[in-house]
Amino acid sequence: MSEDLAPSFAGDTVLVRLRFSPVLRELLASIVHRVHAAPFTLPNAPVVDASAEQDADWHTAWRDSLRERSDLDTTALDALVGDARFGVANLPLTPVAAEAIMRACARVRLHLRDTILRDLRSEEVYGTLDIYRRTVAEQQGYACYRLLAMLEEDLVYQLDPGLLRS
Amino acid sequence: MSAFTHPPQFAATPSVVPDTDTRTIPAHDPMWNVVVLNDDVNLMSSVVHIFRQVFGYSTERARRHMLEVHQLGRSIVWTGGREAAEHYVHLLQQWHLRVQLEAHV
Repeated sequence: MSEDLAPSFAGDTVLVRLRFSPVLRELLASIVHRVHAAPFTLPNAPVVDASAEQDADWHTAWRDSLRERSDLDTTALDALVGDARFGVANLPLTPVAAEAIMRACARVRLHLRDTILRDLRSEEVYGTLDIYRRTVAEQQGYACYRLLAMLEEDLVYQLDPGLLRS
Repeated sequence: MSAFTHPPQFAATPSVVPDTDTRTIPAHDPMWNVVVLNDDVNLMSSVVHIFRQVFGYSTERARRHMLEVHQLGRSIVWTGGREAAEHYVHLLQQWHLRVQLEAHV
């Protein structure tokens, strides 16, 4: 396998190195905790086509497995954002833990997009958002959404430095 | 443990079929497409990383699929046997991508 055929980790440790206000950390912690406690929902309803020979047990096993993975990931993110050093100091992660954090970031961001941020257009989420015309809940949700995206992106570029070069 | 967390096992096609077995054995099993759908939440960089992780694709190939998803709304990221396709769908869903499995025609 050539060097380019699979992610090559720059080292054994990935750093959480974002810096931001402790107030934002507390807000993020409360949102992550809330999502963690919320019932798990698959991001996409049609797992596979209904015509296949899949029975209820098969679907239950599929969903349970996804739920189990997601719970583990969100537990890891919950612990990270609950750490008082998060946002003010570098925190080391193993590559496996970093990927768990990435998956959990996606889960929380999807949840925010479907709930607090559901009235925002895509162009607003990724472009210019007039934050002062938004409710306090939307402002807070948007801040957390962007922060989690920054965290996820910083981790992925450390896990897969080739993405930055290409 | 469910079968979803293990790589699929590919059984070799038996070279000798017992002559007492009169069932029809299809020459080729149907093929299935693993299709990733666009969303406005997952990051482009993350999606490239996921395709590289799950399928072992080069950065260039993974990026091509990511851009296809982004620009066209969907990309067939893998085609093959049912069991392996289900495995890949499950792995991609762990990353919260929108994925479908559809018959290859």
